[in-house]
Amino acid sequence: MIDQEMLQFSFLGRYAGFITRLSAFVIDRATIAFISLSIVLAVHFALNAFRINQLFGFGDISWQVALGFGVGVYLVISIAYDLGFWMLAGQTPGKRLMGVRVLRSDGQRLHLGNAIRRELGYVLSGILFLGYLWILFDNRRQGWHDKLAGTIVVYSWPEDELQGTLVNEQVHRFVQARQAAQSERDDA
Amino acid sequence: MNEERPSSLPTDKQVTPLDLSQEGQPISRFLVGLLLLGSDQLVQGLGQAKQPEADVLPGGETSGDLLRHLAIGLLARGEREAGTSLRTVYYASVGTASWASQMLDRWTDNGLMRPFRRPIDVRIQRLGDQVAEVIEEGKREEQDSRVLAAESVQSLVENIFDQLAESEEMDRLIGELVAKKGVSYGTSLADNMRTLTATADDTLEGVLRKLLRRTPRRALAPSPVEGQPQTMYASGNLVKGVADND
Repeated sequence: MIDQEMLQFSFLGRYAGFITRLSAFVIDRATIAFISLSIVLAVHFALNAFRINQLFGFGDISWQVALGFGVGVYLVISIAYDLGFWMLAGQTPGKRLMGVRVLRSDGQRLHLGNAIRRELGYVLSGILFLGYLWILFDNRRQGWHDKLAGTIVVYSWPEDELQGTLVNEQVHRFVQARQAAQSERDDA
Repeated sequence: MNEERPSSLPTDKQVTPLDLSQEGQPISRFLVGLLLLGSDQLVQGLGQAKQPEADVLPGGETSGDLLRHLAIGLLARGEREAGTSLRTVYYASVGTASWASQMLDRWTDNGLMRPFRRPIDVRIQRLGDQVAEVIEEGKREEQDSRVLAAESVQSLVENIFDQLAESEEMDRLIGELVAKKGVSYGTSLADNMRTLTATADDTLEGVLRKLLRRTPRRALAPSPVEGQPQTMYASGNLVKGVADND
């Protein structure tokens, strides 16, 4: 019988495959769509409740305008969400849930240039979905957007125990440094 | 009460429509239009369109209307006249320079004056070269400034993200957040889902290769982080530092 823990560790740091990445992608897009829809509804409510549209002579807002606004909000949030999470944490919430992480090809954290190229690469990969399907056949499981940005996606779990240790260690160091600085100030 | 409008004040009927094809004043016209639209909408929205009777001047205009028309008229005329003056000065300068050059040519283009004229020609040529150089420098500076500004912004953003990612405070805050989410049921569910999808990744690729009659893949290319613990939020340096201490 395969030990579950050993199986998990065998994935650690390996290139993540199509289904895992697709699942993370769907979770992220659903999250962004939910946030965008909430914003659009809030704006719609505010315009109607305070009659701001009448004050500025907009009249009734057509569904085309509302749809355009919604798409705009979705795109802006989508870009900010991807770039922010990739650069700060290396993971979006969807990737976090699926236990994968985006890195540069040399294993380091993404820079702004990589992140922007990866975001633009999503458009390229979206052509007939071919860029995403490329993950299935590539030796490093890179989509076109990964090739363009020089990035890889790896399994990054199990992480809780390790992360707890490391984070606790950092917190411990931080507290110690602060206490030392405080005692130095007190002595002075 | 005299209801007649003074002849110096234009009525609405006398105002000629704006000629949009006319050159000049597009920015001020646009700004004035925006201001007027905004103020009209604001007045309508606030229900204050009706002015007090005492403010209405002969001709039906209020003092506010007169002041507004005066300000817009001054702005439009000022911009137009400034543009006209500049054009006049420019054409006059070019014309004068051309006339002076022709006159000088006529008087000095002969064997007697040529030795005196040559140094002047050389200086004029040099001046022209210098002006051309300055223009070229301006073009280069413009491009360089754009590149510099773009690089500065990128570097600034990179620095901000680096600082945030490597900040111990940030690490601590996120660590606290992560600690709070630790629900064993959820973790176990997520682990099961990850195992399932990760196994499905390999299976799907195997099936596809078989369908496409390609040779089965023995192993993926080596990953730079294979087998290494992946921490979500701590940077590589922090991880290395901890490992060194251990």
